[in-house]
Amino acid sequence: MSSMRLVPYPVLVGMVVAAILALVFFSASLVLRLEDEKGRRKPAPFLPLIFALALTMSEMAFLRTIFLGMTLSGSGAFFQEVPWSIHIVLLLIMLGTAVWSMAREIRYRQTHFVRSSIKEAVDTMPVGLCFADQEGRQVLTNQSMIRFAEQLTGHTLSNVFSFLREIKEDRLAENCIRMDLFENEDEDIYTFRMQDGRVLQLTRDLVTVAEEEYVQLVVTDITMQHDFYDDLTKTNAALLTQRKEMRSLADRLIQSNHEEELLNYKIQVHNDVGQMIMTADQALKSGSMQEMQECATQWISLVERFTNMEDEKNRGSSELLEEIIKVAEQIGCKVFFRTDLPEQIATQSVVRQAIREAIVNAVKHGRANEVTIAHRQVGRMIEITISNNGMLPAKGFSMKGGLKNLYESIRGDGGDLRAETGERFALVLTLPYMAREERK
Amino acid sequence: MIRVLIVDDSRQSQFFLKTMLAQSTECTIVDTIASAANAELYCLGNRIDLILMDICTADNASGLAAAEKIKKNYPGVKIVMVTSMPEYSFIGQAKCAGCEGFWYKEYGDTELLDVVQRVMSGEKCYPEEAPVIPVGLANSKDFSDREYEIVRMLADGLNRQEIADKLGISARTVRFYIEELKTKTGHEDTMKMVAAFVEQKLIINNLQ
Repeated sequence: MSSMRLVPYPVLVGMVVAAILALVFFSASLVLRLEDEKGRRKPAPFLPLIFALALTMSEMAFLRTIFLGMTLSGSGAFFQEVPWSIHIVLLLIMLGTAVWSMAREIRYRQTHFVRSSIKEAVDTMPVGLCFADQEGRQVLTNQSMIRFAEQLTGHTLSNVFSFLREIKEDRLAENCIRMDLFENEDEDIYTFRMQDGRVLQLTRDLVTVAEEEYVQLVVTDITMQHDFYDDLTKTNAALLTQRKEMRSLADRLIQSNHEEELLNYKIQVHNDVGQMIMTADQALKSGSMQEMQECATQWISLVERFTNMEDEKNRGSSELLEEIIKVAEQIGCKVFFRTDLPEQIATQSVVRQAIREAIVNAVKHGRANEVTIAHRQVGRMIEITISNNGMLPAKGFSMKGGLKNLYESIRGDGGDLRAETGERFALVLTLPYMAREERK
Repeated sequence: MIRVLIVDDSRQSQFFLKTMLAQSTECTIVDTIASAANAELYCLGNRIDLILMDICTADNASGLAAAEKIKKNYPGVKIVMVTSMPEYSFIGQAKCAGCEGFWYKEYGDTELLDVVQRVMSGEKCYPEEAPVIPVGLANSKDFSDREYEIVRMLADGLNRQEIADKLGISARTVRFYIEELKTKTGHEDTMKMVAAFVEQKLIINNLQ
């Protein structure tokens, strides 16, 4: 115990702790030796290792001396009266060496590929992965694959070939179903519906690494793709049904058009006959022979019209143009056609509208009593000039109201409308036109 | 003497109106024309006191549009709209155009001459309501103006979002209206429901 009084108590405790730590780190540095890129372990540097070993042994002996109450001086003392402060320095050197070698080892592992880093990376992959040798023994398996095998077979993955045999023989865990997604399923692809509803696909491949062959198993979660595939199949089926319906509708289109035309005729007959019945009722109530005779004439005319329904339809357009001319004459404005408008043009509503607007403007603003209509073909367009013998506009001409609507309508049809003020005021209407021969 | 212009594209209707007016000694028929688009032109050079104007006339010309123009340029001319179409909006449009009267050819119990006399004496003569027409399981009185608007837009080929944008409401609200219409009429299909309105002439589009 006399030797223990030579060392202050806190220092003694510190020395013990330092010695234990040094022993631990030193042991660790012996075990965790550096690896090279091929996974072979390099021995730690030789000299520092021997130095550290010697230091450790000496300090362990010194501590033993203190605790056993052995003398620190004289012939029985370990290291013959070396001051205890020197021992502290040596312990610190030991500790420093061990810490340095540990730090170097950690830094090396962070900047180089080592076995443990590869394993860590593989374990964090989203797919299940397993490499096995030709005997089926696992070389590298990640956690996902281990979990998958357990869920699928109910036990841990041992031999890969046994595992694959269990799959082929359908010896699966409860509620795990093997699915055949494709008609000619590849033998190396297996698809499963798991207990939790996920759809997983297992693929088997052979890979060659450093001239050796390994079996590679990969498990991927294809739940989303499978659901999309399901939706796609349903959509395709619906589209197919719609296509059939559309084909059927197209087949009925001609019949529908015919029925619609028939219906329109029926409506017209119903309306006209209805009117005539009311007219006849009035005529009979009035008792006037003249009215009854007129009514009878109208009945005959009606029947004739119905008999020649097709002609009636075609006469409609020319009658409308004739009405415009008739009304114009009644308000004191004569309409002359210098050239006969082609039938295709004369029947267009926009042409009638233009003639009407021209007459209104001619009479209202120009006090005209004559309107002349002429046309000429300019390439694939037809130009219709509607001029009048009225006064020219005093302040210039702008398209307003009905003319403005007409202008927009003609532009929409690919034509143009402009005003010309030369000797006479004229509206010039340009429309696309294709001659009958060209249309054929 | 009341100088009357008849605007109607149907010869039978023209003859019918002439026959009706012939019973009055106060009216003389100046002319009959088929297209409302020519009515304004007619008024340019002829003295007309009263126009009996059909709504759907030849050349797709709208009698209502022509009436509005004539009332603007010739306010002294009185106009009575005549129609056989029970389209829900016609009465309202006629009032907006400034027409003095409205007469249904086939519905209602007011005589045309009575309407003419009242209009010429300065009254406005309109039917109290549009005719009641059956539409599927409902009738024309069961629908609101907004519902008619939506059916008209469907008949024009607009989709729900386009209808919603035009009316300033949400597409969901439009969908609600359509479902209500289908429930009221008993039609399961939207197009069949629209077709029922068009067939009964409660909706008439394509007038210029």
